[in-house]
Amino acid sequence: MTTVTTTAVATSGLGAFALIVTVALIALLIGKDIVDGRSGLGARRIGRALAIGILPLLTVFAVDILVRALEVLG
Amino acid sequence: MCWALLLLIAVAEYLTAAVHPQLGLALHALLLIGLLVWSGFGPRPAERRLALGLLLAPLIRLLSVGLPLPALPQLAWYPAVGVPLLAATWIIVRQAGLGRRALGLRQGNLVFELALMAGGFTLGAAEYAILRPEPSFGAMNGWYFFLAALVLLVFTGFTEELIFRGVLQTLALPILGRSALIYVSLLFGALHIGHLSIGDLVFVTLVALLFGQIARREGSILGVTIAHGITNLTLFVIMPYLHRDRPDLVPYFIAGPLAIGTALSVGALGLLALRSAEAGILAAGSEPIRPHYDEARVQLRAMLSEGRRSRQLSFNDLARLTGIDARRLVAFEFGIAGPDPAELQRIARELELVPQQLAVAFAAAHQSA
Repeated sequence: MTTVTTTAVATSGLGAFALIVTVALIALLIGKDIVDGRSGLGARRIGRALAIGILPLLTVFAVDILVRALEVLG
Repeated sequence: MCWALLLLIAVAEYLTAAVHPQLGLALHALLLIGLLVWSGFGPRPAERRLALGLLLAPLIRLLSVGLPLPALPQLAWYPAVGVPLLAATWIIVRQAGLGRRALGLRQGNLVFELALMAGGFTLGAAEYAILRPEPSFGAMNGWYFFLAALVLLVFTGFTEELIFRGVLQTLALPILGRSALIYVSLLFGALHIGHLSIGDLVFVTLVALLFGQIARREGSILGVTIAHGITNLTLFVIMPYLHRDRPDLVPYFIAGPLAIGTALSVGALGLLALRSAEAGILAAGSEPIRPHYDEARVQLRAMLSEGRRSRQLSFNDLARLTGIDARRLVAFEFGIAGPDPAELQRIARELELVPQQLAVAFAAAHQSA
């Protein structure tokens, strides 16, 4: 009873998954840059909420880079 | 809107697990962006707060599929996904203004919760019968078993119960009322589509309904957190390793922890049902006994009770959302006591009332008292 599943999926197409996550992360970072320059209430709310998405996706990105670097070095 | 989102999350899960994983993950990413927009421009505060909570659903899948988990030992998968997820949950909790009480982070009835925890053995064995997972944590010894138990307890039991029963159920209540429990249980079930088992999907959804009801009644996620952790420990460690390495011990496990756990948890659930029935009888019995009210008190009560009922919130639900004791809320609604400014703000926010109007109604009711 855990949501950390889809193991069959996780073993194939890792590069494509990392690419999707990276594209989503770039979209959120661009969004953050756009809303930070605006003063509307909605934009401010989104600006705050973007951290919720950016932090975990940044973790995925960093861990992916680390694993790839270790693979190359190892 | 909420139900359409649930459907889209289920579709994204199915695509990820069974049809086209990249397409499914891309849909999760789009859902994440859509929910972020909704959290900023949603028409009602409660909707915007629910959108914040629902961000966790696509994030769970983006993390668990996006991270290079196969490069790590399986026991590391859970903290690898759980730590960033807990960080995101913490940000949501702060932005949505949820207190410890609203999240159920408090001790309920300890005896009841202990009895309930033991039911995790039963649920784990039942799910093992459905999924039959192979042992996947490598060679098992005492220390490794302890580590596996700790990891599963913290990163599946605590993390998932905090997200689903603590955050999402609380945030869905003002929008969906009593359907919030069904909604969150279906969402929890949808995020288990990856097991590709209809039996498991139904089982997990029913367990989520049960856990949701218990957390709602008890106002605490302690019991369900540990029951969830024990369920996963039984499912992924105890049963697979016993079956493979020590099949001679399986009957002892069934006669020991499993039988005792089942008896205790059934007893605890019976007690819960009995207490609920008693509360219903008391509430029904107290209805005709109404003190005399003057005009200002009638108006105050109408304002608060209509606000509550339009969102299908009981006093206990509102207590969870606001962090104010349910008895105090009853006293406020009946005009017996008045809230302090912070309490007034929280009540106004949850019932979507104008704080100034509510303050005027309270002042008028207390002048006439």
